[in-house]
Amino acid sequence: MPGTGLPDPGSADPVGRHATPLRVALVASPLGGPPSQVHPIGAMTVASYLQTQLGEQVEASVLNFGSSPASRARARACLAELAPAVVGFPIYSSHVHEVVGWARELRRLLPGAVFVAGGPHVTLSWPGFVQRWGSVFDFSVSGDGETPMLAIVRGVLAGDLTAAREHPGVGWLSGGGVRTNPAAPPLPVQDWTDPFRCPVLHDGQPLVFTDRREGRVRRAVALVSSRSCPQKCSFCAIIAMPGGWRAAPTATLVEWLAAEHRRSGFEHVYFMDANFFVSADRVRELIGALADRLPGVTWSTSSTVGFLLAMGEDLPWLVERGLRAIEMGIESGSPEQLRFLNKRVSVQRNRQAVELVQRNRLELGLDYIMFYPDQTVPQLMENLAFLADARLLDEEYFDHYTNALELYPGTPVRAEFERRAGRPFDPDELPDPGSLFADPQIQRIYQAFVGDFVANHLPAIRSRINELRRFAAGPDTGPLDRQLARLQIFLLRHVPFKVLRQLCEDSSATTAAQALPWLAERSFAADAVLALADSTPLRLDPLPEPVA
Amino acid sequence: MPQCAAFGAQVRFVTDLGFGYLDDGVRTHRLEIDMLNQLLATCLTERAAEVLARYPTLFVPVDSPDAARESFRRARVG
Repeated sequence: MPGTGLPDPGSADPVGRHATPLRVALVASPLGGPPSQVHPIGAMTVASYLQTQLGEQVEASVLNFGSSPASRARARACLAELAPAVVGFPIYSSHVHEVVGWARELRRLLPGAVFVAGGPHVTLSWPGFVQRWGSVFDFSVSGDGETPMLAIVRGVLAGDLTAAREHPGVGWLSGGGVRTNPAAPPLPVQDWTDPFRCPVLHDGQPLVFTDRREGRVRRAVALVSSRSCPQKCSFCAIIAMPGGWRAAPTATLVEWLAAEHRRSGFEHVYFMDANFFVSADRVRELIGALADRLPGVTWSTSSTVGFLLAMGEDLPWLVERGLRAIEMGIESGSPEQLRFLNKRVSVQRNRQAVELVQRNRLELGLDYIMFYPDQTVPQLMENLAFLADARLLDEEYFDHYTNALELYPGTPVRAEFERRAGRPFDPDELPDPGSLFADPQIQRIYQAFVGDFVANHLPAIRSRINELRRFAAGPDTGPLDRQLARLQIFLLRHVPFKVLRQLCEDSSATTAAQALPWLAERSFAADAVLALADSTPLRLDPLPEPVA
Repeated sequence: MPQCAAFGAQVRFVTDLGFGYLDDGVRTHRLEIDMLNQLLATCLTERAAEVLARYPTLFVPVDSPDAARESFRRARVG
């Protein structure tokens, strides 16, 4: 048992009779950047559940700080002042070692606290996680975290963790041996708790939504209205965790949001569900009730293609009631890749879903896996062709050009590639996508595109686009310069497409500049950028006479 | 002497990746190349007024048929 954790038996009061509330802090660990504007919803949910169940016996809070030295110092100062008796860490597969390092650092700051690991990675790599990291964390929690965490906190309050050690979903290291209980069953939806009940301490920017339809920025909150997903995509970690798709009751959700609206006056809701439109009846009921209760509040969410298309006729009604953006798991424009990912959708249906979003003037968040291990060059070009066919060349962000399939623990694709490799991957690492490509041509393209273009050129292009956007919107900018700036933005947004397409077409190109010579000098002078236009010949012969 | 000066903003455009990007002075529109072809050709005919009624901010600055031909053929900005 690495931490002492338990109150001194001689000084602890019986359960529920502590002179001061027991403090519990759930620390969303810095993951290599600024704190997420979206607060850690899972941690908020667990902390709020503890607060609801234990009332004045506990003070549960969530910390969401960045990873800069200054942010880390603020987080340490905050924790030193809080002096929590229990510290929880949500852990994601992409940053296991960072979180473990952070926990070790905090162990020195809070030597008496009980440390608990939770979050998706613990569940996905259960029970091996306990074996590997049980020396850092007193307990690990698998599955829905609410009741296991409640059992642990009750045990700390009581000075007796015996019951916690018997609780489903709890694991720990005992004398070098792994002790785990079966995963906790999914928490019944009627027991879900208002995630906004707990305070979130943070040093980041407030969450906002940019509403381009109305040309304004809205203060926002984020929550999940449902958990899991009924799809069976072979790469998805969400469905590798226990429990089927389940949703909070509509009346409960609306009450949570109405209460938070009274406190913060938010103007937009991010529904961070994995797949919001699974039940059309639920969506109609929820959005109807939300629009009645909080008129003028807008919302955005995520969906897979099939469920969105099934609600196609409802979309105008939903837009009238505040729908502004949909993040959609398109993933690919290649039939073979869609089969590999077990998306159970056709390229044509993907295209229809994009058109549906565009027709309703919604913002599209594009989830797209440009590279995957078994890919061939023609399949990669199918992915590019889809972006052009679906009118997705002008997206603001570039992630859809750079994303490669990630092999999350517990997923069928990871198991398949471990079988091919004849050995398991490091359970706390996501394998480098560049090491998995079977086709040497894809290896070449990936290295030139992600290793060279994304690393050495894309940041400057992003920066120039932002400069041009500010310049075009500036009050002192003349009309001609505004137009030229706006047109340059579009041409710069096309650069990743052109580089990747040329790398596919020229099998000798091994650097980004060989694919697009402009990158060798990378001049952002207006003439140089405008010369990037391919200037497709226009059919104007014979030219009609101009109007007199 | 530019035509249709009363309509104000000048139109500038580029073509790229199979689309025309046409900035009407207020915002940039993405058009299919065929539609851009049709639009630009129509602007130089007696139907210009009809097009301008449909696209009230549209204005194509040309001093002569040759200038228009050159500008449109090369899809140059400015």
